[in-house]
Amino acid sequence: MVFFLGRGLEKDPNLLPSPLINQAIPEFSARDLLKDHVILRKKIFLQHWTLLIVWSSWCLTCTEEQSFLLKLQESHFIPIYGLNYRDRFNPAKQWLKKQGNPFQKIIFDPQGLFAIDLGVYGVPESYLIDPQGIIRYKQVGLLTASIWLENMATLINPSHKNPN
Amino acid sequence: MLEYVKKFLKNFLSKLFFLAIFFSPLVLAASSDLYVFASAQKKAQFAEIIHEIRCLVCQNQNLVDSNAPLAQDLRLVIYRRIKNGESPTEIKKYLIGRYGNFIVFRPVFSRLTYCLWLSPFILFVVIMFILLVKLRKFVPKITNI
Repeated sequence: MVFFLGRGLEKDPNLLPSPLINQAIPEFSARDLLKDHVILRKKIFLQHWTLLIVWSSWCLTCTEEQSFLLKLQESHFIPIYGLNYRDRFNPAKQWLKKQGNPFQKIIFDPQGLFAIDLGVYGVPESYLIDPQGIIRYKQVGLLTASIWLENMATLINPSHKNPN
Repeated sequence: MLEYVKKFLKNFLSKLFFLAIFFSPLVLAASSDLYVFASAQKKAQFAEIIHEIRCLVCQNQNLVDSNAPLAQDLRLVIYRRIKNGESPTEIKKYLIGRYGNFIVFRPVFSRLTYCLWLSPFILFVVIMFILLVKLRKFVPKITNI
């Protein structure tokens, strides 16, 4: 009993393992924050690897990810899509102007309903999605270069080396 | 004069309507939100589920008590599914499929969680067994007189 308690104390209850690993991303329909009148569907995730970043303009930690994401976007290694979670249109656009925009497409999810379909429970979170639309990795919390390199980039190309 | 009366009636009636709905037995309040149901059964199902689902932001609260935005969203998702006729079991399955077993307070009794559920009993049996073995030493031997 002490063994289980001890092990339990070391685990962060805020970092829940996702049951969606190796499951397909669900179908959805949402506006693109970057392009009015464009509706985004699941097919935007097919035929290429994608890094999906869940963010909000009211999320302080999300600003800490931006410099890494902008560098990653400049390297053109992988398309980066955003999931704008429980946000408002104008503050979200303002935030992008101020922090920079590494996203090619941004799913606008003001009610957080698609996010629930993905098992999102906070921001920031990131998902690595393969060309078949299967979720291969989920990161809860800040995404750093080392987490990206050790846990995500290795899934794309097993012999991946530092892009820098 | 007539316009004034009409406006007054409209205002009064809408307030009365709201009060009637509020005190109707088909309304349920959870945290700061009100939910209206088409039937008592659906209301009961909703009430049952939101007591059993954990708010992942305030992790010791269920969806009845928590005021976190995620709790509001989860209640809304559950409410819509109840309205659509989904059963509590189906809804719980959906949520567990998205968030894992941690989202329900009582983990589902399945092959994976046998150990968790049965461990108190197993532990009890093991301890009793050990005690019996140890205490045998203290039972006085009956000697032939």
